[in-house]
Amino acid sequence: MNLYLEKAKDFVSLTLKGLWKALKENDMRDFEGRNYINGEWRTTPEMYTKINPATGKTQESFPPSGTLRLARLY
Amino acid sequence: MSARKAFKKWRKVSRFVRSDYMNKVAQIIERDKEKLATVISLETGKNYNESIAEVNEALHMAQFAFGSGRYPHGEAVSSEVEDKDAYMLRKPKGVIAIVTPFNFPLAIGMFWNAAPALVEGNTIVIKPSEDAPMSTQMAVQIYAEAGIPRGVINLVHGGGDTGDLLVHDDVDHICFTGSADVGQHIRKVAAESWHKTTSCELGSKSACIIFDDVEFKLSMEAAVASAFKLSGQRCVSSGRMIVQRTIYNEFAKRFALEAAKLKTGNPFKTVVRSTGMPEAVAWDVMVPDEDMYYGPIINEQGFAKIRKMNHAVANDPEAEVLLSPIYTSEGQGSYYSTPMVYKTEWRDVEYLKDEVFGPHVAIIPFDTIEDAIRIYNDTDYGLAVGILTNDFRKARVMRDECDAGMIYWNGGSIAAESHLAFGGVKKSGNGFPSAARTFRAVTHEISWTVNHADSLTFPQGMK
Repeated sequence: MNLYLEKAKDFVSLTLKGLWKALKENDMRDFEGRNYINGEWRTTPEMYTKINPATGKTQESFPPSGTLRLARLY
Repeated sequence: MSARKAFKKWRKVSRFVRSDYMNKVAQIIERDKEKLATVISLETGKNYNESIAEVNEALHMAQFAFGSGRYPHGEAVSSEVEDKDAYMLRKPKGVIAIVTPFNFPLAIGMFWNAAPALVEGNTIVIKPSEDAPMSTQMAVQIYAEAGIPRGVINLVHGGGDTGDLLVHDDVDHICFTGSADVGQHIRKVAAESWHKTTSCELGSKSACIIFDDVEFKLSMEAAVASAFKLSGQRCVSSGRMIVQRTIYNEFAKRFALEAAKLKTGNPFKTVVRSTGMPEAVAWDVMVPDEDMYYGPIINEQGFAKIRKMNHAVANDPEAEVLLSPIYTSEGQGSYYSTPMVYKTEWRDVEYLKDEVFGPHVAIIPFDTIEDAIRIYNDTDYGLAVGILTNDFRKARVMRDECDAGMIYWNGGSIAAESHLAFGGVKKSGNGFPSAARTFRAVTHEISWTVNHADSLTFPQGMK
Protein backbone atom coordinates (compact mmCIF):
# COMPACT_ATOMS: atom_id res chain seq x y z
CA MET A 1 0.00 0.00 0.00
CA ASN A 2 2.83 2.36 1.00
CA LEU A 3 4.59 1.70 -2.25
CA TYR A 4 1.50 2.73 -4.21
CA LEU A 5 1.17 5.88 -2.09
CA GLU A 6 4.79 6.86 -2.73
CA LYS A 7 4.37 6.29 -6.45
CA ALA A 8 1.23 8.43 -6.41
CA LYS A 9 3.09 11.24 -4.58
CA ASP A 10 5.93 11.05 -7.11
CA PHE A 11 3.47 11.23 -9.94
CA VAL A 12 1.75 14.30 -8.46
CA SER A 13 5.00 16.14 -7.77
CA LEU A 14 6.45 15.41 -11.19
CA THR A 15 3.20 16.46 -12.83
CA LEU A 16 3.26 19.72 -10.86
CA LYS A 17 6.84 20.32 -11.90
CA GLY A 18 5.99 19.67 -15.51
CA LEU A 19 2.92 21.84 -15.28
CA TRP A 20 4.88 24.80 -13.95
CA LYS A 21 7.56 24.35 -16.59
CA ALA A 22 4.89 24.27 -19.24
CA LEU A 23 3.26 27.39 -17.82
CA LYS A 24 6.56 29.22 -17.77
CA GLU A 25 7.40 28.15 -21.27
CA ASN A 26 3.94 29.02 -22.38
CA ASP A 27 4.46 32.56 -21.17
CA MET A 28 7.57 33.25 -23.15
CA ARG A 29 9.58 30.49 -24.73
CA ASP A 30 6.78 29.22 -26.91
CA PHE A 31 5.90 32.74 -27.92
CA GLU A 32 6.15 33.18 -31.66
CA GLY A 33 6.24 36.65 -33.10
CA ARG A 34 3.85 36.96 -36.02
CA ASN A 35 2.06 39.59 -38.01
CA TYR A 36 -1.73 39.43 -38.02
CA ILE A 37 -3.11 40.35 -41.41
CA ASN A 38 -6.69 39.96 -42.56
CA GLY A 39 -7.47 37.46 -39.81
CA GLU A 40 -4.40 35.29 -40.42
CA TRP A 41 -1.20 34.92 -38.42
CA ARG A 42 1.74 35.27 -40.78
CA THR A 43 5.47 35.11 -40.45
CA THR A 44 8.37 35.90 -42.77
CA PRO A 45 11.79 34.31 -43.32
CA GLU A 46 13.50 37.36 -41.83
CA MET A 47 13.22 37.98 -38.10
CA TYR A 48 14.55 40.44 -35.52
CA THR A 49 15.37 39.50 -31.96
CA LYS A 50 13.67 40.81 -28.84
CA ILE A 51 15.90 41.11 -25.76
CA ASN A 52 14.70 40.80 -22.14
CA PRO A 53 15.88 44.15 -20.75
CA ALA A 54 16.25 42.70 -17.25
CA THR A 55 18.70 39.98 -18.25
CA GLY A 56 19.91 40.83 -21.74
CA LYS A 57 18.86 37.36 -22.87
CA THR A 58 17.03 36.69 -26.12
CA GLN A 59 13.26 36.40 -25.69
CA GLU A 60 11.71 35.92 -29.10
CA SER A 61 12.02 36.71 -32.77
CA PHE A 62 9.64 38.91 -34.70
CA PRO A 63 9.13 39.55 -38.40
CA PRO A 64 10.67 42.88 -39.45
CA SER A 65 7.74 44.00 -41.54
CA GLY A 66 9.48 47.16 -42.71
CA THR A 67 11.71 45.21 -45.06
CA LEU A 68 8.66 44.10 -46.99
CA ARG A 69 6.06 46.08 -48.81
CA LEU A 70 3.44 46.89 -46.22
CA ALA A 71 0.79 47.23 -48.88
CA ARG A 72 1.16 43.54 -49.60
CA LEU A 73 0.95 42.71 -45.92
CA TYR A 74 -2.36 44.27 -44.96
CA MET B 1 -5.45 46.49 -48.18
CA SER B 2 -7.47 44.31 -45.80
CA ALA B 3 -8.07 47.11 -43.26
CA ARG B 4 -9.56 49.35 -45.99
CA LYS B 5 -11.68 46.53 -47.35
CA ALA B 6 -12.91 45.54 -43.89
CA PHE B 7 -13.80 49.17 -43.08
CA LYS B 8 -16.57 49.16 -45.68
CA LYS B 9 -18.39 46.40 -43.80
CA TRP B 10 -17.34 47.18 -40.23
CA ARG B 11 -18.63 50.77 -40.32
CA LYS B 12 -22.09 49.42 -41.15
CA VAL B 13 -22.18 47.02 -38.19
CA SER B 14 -24.38 48.44 -35.43
CA ARG B 15 -22.46 50.49 -32.90
CA PHE B 16 -24.18 48.41 -30.25
CA VAL B 17 -22.81 45.18 -31.77
CA ARG B 18 -19.35 46.66 -32.26
CA SER B 19 -19.15 47.60 -28.60
CA ASP B 20 -20.39 44.16 -27.55
CA TYR B 21 -17.08 42.68 -28.72
CA MET B 22 -15.40 44.79 -26.03
CA ASN B 23 -17.41 42.99 -23.35
CA LYS B 24 -15.98 39.68 -24.54
CA VAL B 25 -12.50 41.21 -24.70
CA ALA B 26 -12.86 42.44 -21.09
CA GLN B 27 -13.83 38.97 -19.90
CA ILE B 28 -10.77 37.43 -21.55
CA ILE B 29 -8.50 40.07 -20.01
CA GLU B 30 -9.90 39.17 -16.57
CA ARG B 31 -9.20 35.49 -17.28
CA ASP B 32 -5.63 36.12 -18.48
CA LYS B 33 -4.71 38.98 -16.14
CA GLU B 34 -1.68 37.36 -14.52
CA LYS B 35 -0.33 36.00 -17.77
CA LEU B 36 -0.61 39.41 -19.42
CA ALA B 37 1.09 41.12 -16.46
CA THR B 38 3.90 38.56 -16.55
CA VAL B 39 4.55 39.23 -20.23
CA ILE B 40 4.53 43.00 -19.68
CA SER B 41 7.11 42.65 -16.91
CA LEU B 42 9.23 40.25 -18.93
CA GLU B 43 9.40 42.42 -22.01
CA THR B 44 9.70 45.83 -20.34
CA GLY B 45 11.32 45.03 -16.98
CA LYS B 46 8.36 46.72 -15.29
CA ASN B 47 7.62 46.01 -11.63
CA TYR B 48 4.94 43.26 -11.52
CA ASN B 49 2.50 45.35 -9.47
CA GLU B 50 2.74 48.11 -12.10
CA SER B 51 2.13 45.49 -14.78
CA ILE B 52 -1.03 44.32 -13.03
CA ALA B 53 -2.08 47.98 -12.86
CA GLU B 54 -1.47 48.29 -16.60
CA VAL B 55 -3.64 45.24 -17.29
CA ASN B 56 -6.35 46.86 -15.16
CA GLU B 57 -5.96 50.03 -17.21
CA ALA B 58 -6.52 48.00 -20.38
CA LEU B 59 -9.48 46.22 -18.78
CA HIS B 60 -11.05 49.52 -17.74
CA MET B 61 -10.76 50.86 -21.27
CA ALA B 62 -12.37 47.70 -22.67
CA GLN B 63 -15.23 48.10 -20.17
CA PHE B 64 -15.52 51.81 -20.91
CA ALA B 65 -15.60 51.16 -24.67
CA PHE B 66 -18.23 48.47 -24.14
CA GLY B 67 -20.42 50.91 -22.20
CA SER B 68 -19.90 53.65 -24.78
CA GLY B 69 -21.86 51.60 -27.31
CA ARG B 70 -25.02 52.51 -25.38
CA TYR B 71 -24.20 56.20 -25.21
CA PRO B 72 -24.87 58.93 -27.80
CA HIS B 73 -22.42 59.41 -30.67
CA GLY B 74 -23.51 62.93 -31.32
CA GLU B 75 -25.90 65.58 -30.10
CA ALA B 76 -29.18 67.16 -31.08
CA VAL B 77 -29.15 70.96 -31.32
CA SER B 78 -31.66 73.63 -32.29
CA SER B 79 -31.98 75.17 -35.71
CA GLU B 80 -32.80 78.78 -36.49
CA VAL B 81 -35.42 77.43 -38.85
CA GLU B 82 -38.55 76.28 -37.07
CA ASP B 83 -39.26 73.26 -39.28
CA LYS B 84 -35.73 71.99 -39.19
CA ASP B 85 -34.05 69.51 -36.84
CA ALA B 86 -30.29 69.74 -36.44
CA TYR B 87 -27.69 67.28 -35.19
CA MET B 88 -23.95 66.83 -34.97
CA LEU B 89 -22.90 63.21 -35.44
CA ARG B 90 -19.54 61.45 -35.17
CA LYS B 91 -18.50 59.33 -38.15
CA PRO B 92 -15.49 56.99 -38.28
CA LYS B 93 -12.45 58.31 -40.12
CA GLY B 94 -11.56 54.99 -41.74
CA VAL B 95 -8.28 53.13 -41.27
CA ILE B 96 -6.44 54.12 -38.12
CA ALA B 97 -2.67 53.55 -37.87
CA ILE B 98 -1.53 53.03 -34.28
CA VAL B 99 2.17 53.32 -33.44
CA THR B 100 2.89 52.57 -29.80
CA PRO B 101 5.66 52.90 -27.19
CA PHE B 102 7.39 50.26 -25.06
CA ASN B 103 6.43 51.64 -21.65
CA PHE B 104 2.72 50.73 -21.71
CA PRO B 105 2.75 48.01 -24.36
CA LEU B 106 -0.68 46.62 -23.53
CA ALA B 107 -2.85 49.53 -22.37
CA ILE B 108 -2.03 52.29 -24.84
CA GLY B 109 -2.12 50.73 -28.30
CA MET B 110 -4.78 48.03 -28.24
CA PHE B 111 -6.96 49.70 -25.61
CA TRP B 112 -6.62 53.48 -25.23
CA ASN B 113 -6.31 53.80 -29.01
CA ALA B 114 -7.82 50.71 -30.61
CA ALA B 115 -10.87 50.10 -28.41
CA PRO B 116 -12.50 53.51 -29.07
CA ALA B 117 -11.44 53.37 -32.73
CA LEU B 118 -13.19 50.02 -33.21
CA VAL B 119 -16.38 50.99 -31.36
CA GLU B 120 -16.60 54.13 -33.52
CA GLY B 121 -16.47 51.96 -36.66
CA ASN B 122 -12.85 52.29 -37.77
CA THR B 123 -10.47 49.48 -38.65
CA ILE B 124 -6.89 49.49 -37.41
CA VAL B 125 -3.31 48.62 -38.29
CA ILE B 126 -1.07 48.59 -35.22
CA LYS B 127 2.73 48.68 -35.09
CA PRO B 128 3.98 48.04 -31.54
CA SER B 129 7.37 49.11 -30.23
CA GLU B 130 10.09 46.70 -31.29
CA ASP B 131 11.25 46.81 -27.66
CA ALA B 132 7.93 45.43 -26.34
CA PRO B 133 5.93 43.68 -29.08
CA MET B 134 4.62 40.66 -27.20
CA SER B 135 1.88 42.28 -25.11
CA THR B 136 0.38 43.79 -28.25
CA GLN B 137 0.39 40.44 -30.01
CA MET B 138 -1.34 38.88 -27.00
CA ALA B 139 -3.93 41.65 -27.06
CA VAL B 140 -4.57 41.01 -30.75
CA GLN B 141 -5.02 37.33 -29.90
CA ILE B 142 -7.61 38.34 -27.31
CA TYR B 143 -9.58 40.40 -29.83
CA ALA B 144 -9.38 37.50 -32.30
CA GLU B 145 -10.68 35.12 -29.63
CA ALA B 146 -13.53 37.56 -28.96
CA GLY B 147 -14.53 37.14 -32.60
CA ILE B 148 -13.64 40.48 -34.20
CA PRO B 149 -14.13 39.97 -37.96
CA ARG B 150 -11.12 39.46 -40.18
CA GLY B 151 -9.38 42.55 -41.49
CA VAL B 152 -10.75 44.82 -38.76
CA ILE B 153 -7.55 44.47 -36.71
CA ASN B 154 -4.14 44.11 -38.31
CA LEU B 155 -0.76 43.84 -36.61
CA VAL B 156 2.63 44.51 -38.17
CA HIS B 157 5.86 44.13 -36.21
CA GLY B 158 9.00 46.08 -36.91
CA GLY B 159 11.11 49.10 -36.10
CA GLY B 160 11.00 52.73 -37.12
CA ASP B 161 11.15 51.90 -40.82
CA THR B 162 7.95 49.86 -40.51
CA GLY B 163 6.25 52.68 -38.62
CA ASP B 164 7.32 55.14 -41.29
CA LEU B 165 5.94 52.96 -44.08
CA LEU B 166 2.70 52.60 -42.17
CA VAL B 167 2.08 56.32 -41.61
CA HIS B 168 2.90 57.03 -45.27
CA ASP B 169 0.47 54.35 -46.40
CA ASP B 170 -3.26 54.50 -47.11
CA VAL B 171 -4.43 55.38 -43.60
CA ASP B 172 -6.77 58.16 -42.45
CA HIS B 173 -5.63 58.90 -38.93
CA ILE B 174 -2.48 58.16 -36.96
CA CYS B 175 -2.49 57.59 -33.20
CA PHE B 176 1.09 57.98 -32.11
CA THR B 177 2.60 57.75 -28.63
CA GLY B 178 6.34 58.25 -28.36
CA SER B 179 9.08 60.84 -28.70
CA ALA B 180 8.45 64.44 -29.68
CA ASP B 181 10.83 64.19 -32.66
CA VAL B 182 9.01 61.23 -34.20
CA GLY B 183 5.68 62.88 -33.39
CA GLN B 184 6.74 65.96 -35.30
CA HIS B 185 7.76 63.81 -38.27
CA ILE B 186 4.36 62.08 -38.26
CA ARG B 187 2.56 65.41 -38.14
CA LYS B 188 4.55 66.53 -41.20
CA VAL B 189 3.62 63.33 -43.04
CA ALA B 190 -0.04 64.01 -42.27
CA ALA B 191 0.27 67.65 -43.32
CA GLU B 192 1.52 66.56 -46.74
CA SER B 193 -1.75 64.72 -47.36
CA TRP B 194 -5.24 66.18 -47.66
CA HIS B 195 -7.00 63.77 -45.37
CA LYS B 196 -4.68 62.39 -42.70
CA THR B 197 -5.05 63.58 -39.14
CA THR B 198 -2.99 62.72 -36.08
CA SER B 199 -3.31 62.44 -32.33
CA CYS B 200 0.14 62.54 -30.77
CA GLU B 201 1.04 61.86 -27.15
CA LEU B 202 4.67 62.85 -26.80
CA GLY B 203 7.36 63.51 -24.23
CA SER B 204 7.48 65.79 -21.23
CA LYS B 205 9.49 67.43 -18.51
CA SER B 206 6.80 66.88 -15.92
CA ALA B 207 7.07 68.04 -12.35
CA CYS B 208 5.71 68.09 -8.82
CA ILE B 209 5.30 71.55 -7.34
CA ILE B 210 5.46 71.39 -3.56
CA PHE B 211 4.30 74.21 -1.29
CA ASP B 212 5.29 74.46 2.36
CA ASP B 213 1.71 74.11 3.66
CA VAL B 214 1.19 70.53 2.52
CA GLU B 215 1.70 67.38 4.61
CA PHE B 216 5.33 66.38 4.22
CA LYS B 217 4.51 62.66 4.00
CA LEU B 218 2.03 63.22 1.18
CA SER B 219 4.50 65.29 -0.82
CA MET B 220 7.25 62.70 -0.34
CA GLU B 221 5.03 59.80 -1.47
CA ALA B 222 3.87 61.74 -4.52
CA ALA B 223 7.39 62.82 -5.42
CA VAL B 224 9.05 59.42 -5.12
CA ALA B 225 6.37 57.60 -7.11
CA SER B 226 6.26 60.29 -9.81
CA ALA B 227 10.02 60.25 -10.23
CA PHE B 228 10.90 56.58 -10.07
CA LYS B 229 7.99 54.33 -11.04
CA LEU B 230 9.01 52.43 -14.19
CA SER B 231 12.58 53.77 -13.77
CA GLY B 232 11.35 57.26 -14.68
CA GLN B 233 10.43 55.98 -18.15
CA ARG B 234 6.81 57.16 -18.12
CA CYS B 235 6.03 60.09 -20.37
CA VAL B 236 4.60 61.77 -17.25
CA SER B 237 7.54 60.99 -14.96
CA SER B 238 8.63 63.93 -12.83
CA GLY B 239 12.19 64.92 -13.59
CA ARG B 240 11.72 68.09 -11.57
CA MET B 241 10.69 68.69 -7.96
CA ILE B 242 9.92 72.39 -7.68
CA VAL B 243 9.92 73.06 -3.93
CA GLN B 244 9.14 76.15 -1.85
CA ARG B 245 12.41 77.48 -0.42
CA THR B 246 11.14 77.40 3.18
CA ILE B 247 11.15 73.57 3.10
CA TYR B 248 13.67 73.12 0.30
CA ASN B 249 16.68 71.76 2.20
CA GLU B 250 14.64 69.44 4.39
CA PHE B 251 12.69 68.12 1.39
CA ALA B 252 15.84 67.57 -0.68
CA LYS B 253 17.57 65.69 2.12
CA ARG B 254 14.58 63.42 2.79
CA PHE B 255 13.91 62.83 -0.91
CA ALA B 256 17.51 61.72 -1.49
CA LEU B 257 17.28 59.39 1.52
CA GLU B 258 14.04 57.85 0.23
CA ALA B 259 15.52 57.48 -3.27
CA ALA B 260 18.59 55.75 -1.85
CA LYS B 261 16.35 53.09 -0.26
CA LEU B 262 14.73 52.03 -3.54
CA LYS B 263 15.64 48.58 -4.79
CA THR B 264 16.50 48.34 -8.46
CA GLY B 265 16.64 45.08 -10.37
CA ASN B 266 14.93 42.26 -12.23
CA PRO B 267 11.16 42.29 -11.57
CA PHE B 268 11.31 38.53 -11.03
CA LYS B 269 13.31 36.41 -8.66
CA THR B 270 13.87 32.68 -8.65
CA VAL B 271 12.83 30.69 -5.61
CA VAL B 272 13.06 26.99 -4.99
CA ARG B 273 9.82 25.12 -4.45
CA SER B 274 9.41 21.53 -3.42
CA THR B 275 6.66 19.03 -2.83
CA GLY B 276 7.48 18.98 0.88
CA MET B 277 7.25 15.21 0.84
CA PRO B 278 9.95 12.74 1.82
CA GLU B 279 12.44 12.57 -1.05
CA ALA B 280 10.92 15.82 -2.16
CA VAL B 281 11.23 17.01 -5.71
CA ALA B 282 12.51 20.60 -5.89
CA TRP B 283 12.40 22.99 -8.79
CA ASP B 284 13.02 26.64 -9.56
CA VAL B 285 10.07 28.96 -9.81
CA MET B 286 10.08 32.47 -11.18
CA VAL B 287 8.00 34.79 -8.95
CA PRO B 288 7.55 38.58 -8.82
CA ASP B 289 10.10 40.29 -6.58
CA GLU B 290 7.87 42.52 -4.48
CA ASP B 291 10.83 44.37 -2.96
CA MET B 292 11.97 45.56 -6.36
CA TYR B 293 10.81 49.16 -6.88
CA TYR B 294 11.96 49.64 -10.43
CA GLY B 295 13.67 47.65 -13.14
CA PRO B 296 16.02 48.14 -16.05
CA ILE B 297 16.32 50.87 -18.65
CA ILE B 298 14.69 49.61 -21.82
CA ASN B 299 17.68 49.71 -24.18
CA GLU B 300 21.20 50.93 -24.79
CA GLN B 301 20.06 54.14 -26.47
CA GLY B 302 17.92 55.13 -23.47
CA PHE B 303 20.70 54.19 -21.09
CA ALA B 304 23.24 56.29 -23.03
CA LYS B 305 21.00 59.36 -22.80
CA ILE B 306 20.58 58.96 -19.04
CA ARG B 307 24.34 58.59 -18.56
CA LYS B 308 24.99 61.65 -20.70
CA MET B 309 22.57 63.80 -18.66
CA ASN B 310 23.90 62.42 -15.35
CA HIS B 311 27.45 63.17 -16.49
CA ALA B 312 26.49 66.75 -17.36
CA VAL B 313 25.06 67.28 -13.86
CA ALA B 314 28.09 65.73 -12.15
CA ASN B 315 30.39 68.10 -14.05
CA ASP B 316 28.33 71.22 -13.42
CA PRO B 317 29.64 73.21 -10.43
CA GLU B 318 26.26 74.90 -10.05
CA ALA B 319 24.51 71.60 -9.33
CA GLU B 320 24.87 69.89 -5.94
CA VAL B 321 24.62 66.11 -6.30
CA LEU B 322 22.84 64.47 -3.36
CA LEU B 323 22.73 60.94 -4.72
CA SER B 324 25.03 59.62 -7.44
CA PRO B 325 23.84 56.84 -9.73
CA ILE B 326 25.36 53.38 -9.81
CA TYR B 327 25.19 51.56 -13.14
CA THR B 328 24.87 47.79 -13.18
CA SER B 329 24.00 44.99 -15.59
CA GLU B 330 22.72 41.43 -15.34
CA GLY B 331 24.24 40.54 -18.67
CA GLN B 332 25.11 42.06 -22.00
CA GLY B 333 22.12 44.06 -23.19
CA SER B 334 20.67 44.84 -19.74
CA TYR B 335 21.13 48.26 -18.18
CA TYR B 336 20.29 49.47 -14.68
CA SER B 337 20.74 52.83 -13.03
CA THR B 338 20.08 53.74 -9.41
CA PRO B 339 18.65 57.26 -8.90
CA MET B 340 20.47 60.50 -9.63
CA VAL B 341 19.24 63.29 -7.32
CA TYR B 342 20.62 66.82 -7.21
CA LYS B 343 19.86 70.37 -6.08
CA THR B 344 20.05 73.34 -8.40
CA GLU B 345 18.61 76.77 -8.98
CA TRP B 346 16.51 76.99 -12.16
CA ARG B 347 18.80 77.62 -15.11
CA ASP B 348 18.89 77.29 -18.88
CA VAL B 349 20.71 73.95 -19.20
CA GLU B 350 19.81 70.91 -21.27
CA TYR B 351 19.37 68.46 -18.41
CA LEU B 352 16.81 70.72 -16.71
CA LYS B 353 14.78 71.42 -19.82
CA ASP B 354 14.90 68.21 -21.87
CA GLU B 355 13.36 64.86 -21.13
CA VAL B 356 15.83 62.38 -19.63
CA PHE B 357 13.46 59.39 -19.43
CA GLY B 358 15.21 57.79 -16.49
CA PRO B 359 15.69 57.99 -12.71
CA HIS B 360 17.15 61.49 -12.84
CA VAL B 361 15.64 64.21 -10.61
CA ALA B 362 16.43 67.88 -10.12
CA ILE B 363 15.22 69.59 -6.94
CA ILE B 364 14.65 73.26 -7.68
CA PRO B 365 13.66 75.98 -5.17
CA PHE B 366 11.02 78.68 -5.65
CA ASP B 367 10.07 81.69 -3.54
CA THR B 368 6.67 82.83 -4.80
CA ILE B 369 3.79 81.23 -6.66
CA GLU B 370 4.73 83.31 -9.69
CA ASP B 371 8.23 81.82 -9.49
CA ALA B 372 6.83 78.30 -9.37
CA ILE B 373 4.68 78.91 -12.43
CA ARG B 374 7.54 80.53 -14.36
CA ILE B 375 9.91 77.65 -13.60
CA TYR B 376 7.34 74.97 -14.40
CA ASN B 377 6.35 76.55 -17.72
CA ASP B 378 9.92 77.31 -18.82
CA THR B 379 10.34 74.19 -20.98
CA ASP B 380 9.05 73.28 -24.42
CA TYR B 381 6.82 70.59 -22.91
CA GLY B 382 3.47 70.61 -21.11
CA LEU B 383 2.12 67.23 -20.09
CA ALA B 384 1.56 66.53 -16.38
CA VAL B 385 2.07 68.31 -13.09
CA GLY B 386 1.30 67.48 -9.47
CA ILE B 387 0.35 70.48 -7.34
CA LEU B 388 0.89 69.83 -3.64
CA THR B 389 -0.72 72.44 -1.43
CA ASN B 390 -3.56 72.69 1.06
CA ASP B 391 -4.40 76.20 -0.13
CA PHE B 392 -7.33 75.95 -2.57
CA ARG B 393 -6.65 79.42 -3.95
CA LYS B 394 -3.06 78.55 -4.87
CA ALA B 395 -4.22 75.27 -6.38
CA ARG B 396 -6.72 77.06 -8.61
CA VAL B 397 -4.15 79.58 -9.81
CA MET B 398 -1.74 76.75 -10.62
CA ARG B 399 -4.47 74.88 -12.47
CA ASP B 400 -5.12 77.90 -14.65
CA GLU B 401 -1.52 78.99 -15.21
CA CYS B 402 0.47 75.76 -15.64
CA ASP B 403 0.97 74.50 -19.22
CA ALA B 404 -0.23 70.91 -18.86
CA GLY B 405 -2.86 68.49 -20.05
CA MET B 406 -3.07 66.63 -16.75
CA ILE B 407 -2.99 68.52 -13.46
CA TYR B 408 -3.29 66.58 -10.23
CA TRP B 409 -4.00 68.55 -7.06
CA ASN B 410 -2.41 66.84 -4.08
CA GLY B 411 -1.16 64.00 -6.23
CA GLY B 412 1.99 63.34 -8.19
CA SER B 413 2.34 63.59 -11.94
CA ILE B 414 1.33 59.95 -12.54
CA ALA B 415 -2.36 59.14 -12.09
CA ALA B 416 -3.91 58.41 -15.49
CA GLU B 417 -7.31 56.75 -15.68
CA SER B 418 -8.88 55.30 -18.81
CA HIS B 419 -12.08 57.34 -18.58
CA LEU B 420 -10.18 60.65 -18.45
CA ALA B 421 -8.47 62.53 -21.27
CA PHE B 422 -4.73 61.89 -21.58
CA GLY B 423 -2.70 64.41 -23.53
CA GLY B 424 -0.52 67.46 -23.34
CA VAL B 425 0.16 70.88 -24.78
CA LYS B 426 3.16 72.48 -26.50
CA LYS B 427 5.74 69.82 -27.43
CA SER B 428 3.85 67.14 -25.45
CA GLY B 429 0.88 66.77 -27.77
CA ASN B 430 -1.24 68.25 -30.49
CA GLY B 431 -4.58 68.87 -28.80
CA PHE B 432 -6.17 65.48 -29.41
CA PRO B 433 -5.90 63.61 -26.12
CA SER B 434 -5.86 59.83 -25.86
CA ALA B 435 -7.82 57.41 -23.61
CA ALA B 436 -11.35 58.78 -23.06
CA ARG B 437 -10.93 61.34 -25.83
CA THR B 438 -9.72 58.89 -28.49
CA PHE B 439 -13.40 58.53 -29.39
CA ARG B 440 -13.24 62.11 -30.69
CA ALA B 441 -9.80 61.87 -32.31
CA VAL B 442 -10.76 58.92 -34.53
CA THR B 443 -14.02 60.42 -35.74
CA HIS B 444 -15.06 63.50 -37.62
CA GLU B 445 -18.18 65.36 -36.70
CA ILE B 446 -20.73 66.07 -39.35
CA SER B 447 -23.71 68.38 -39.19
CA TRP B 448 -26.97 66.69 -40.17
CA THR B 449 -30.07 68.79 -40.63
CA VAL B 450 -33.55 67.63 -41.59
CA ASN B 451 -36.08 69.95 -43.21
CA HIS B 452 -39.68 68.95 -42.34
CA ALA B 453 -41.31 71.76 -44.32
CA ASP B 454 -42.39 71.57 -47.96
CA SER B 455 -40.59 74.81 -48.79
CA LEU B 456 -37.04 76.06 -48.32
CA THR B 457 -36.12 78.50 -45.55
CA PHE B 458 -32.53 79.67 -45.14
CA PRO B 459 -30.95 80.59 -41.82
CA GLN B 460 -29.69 84.13 -41.11
CA GLY B 461 -32.77 85.54 -42.84
CA MET B 462 -31.33 84.91 -46.29
CA LYS B 463 -33.93 84.78 -49.12
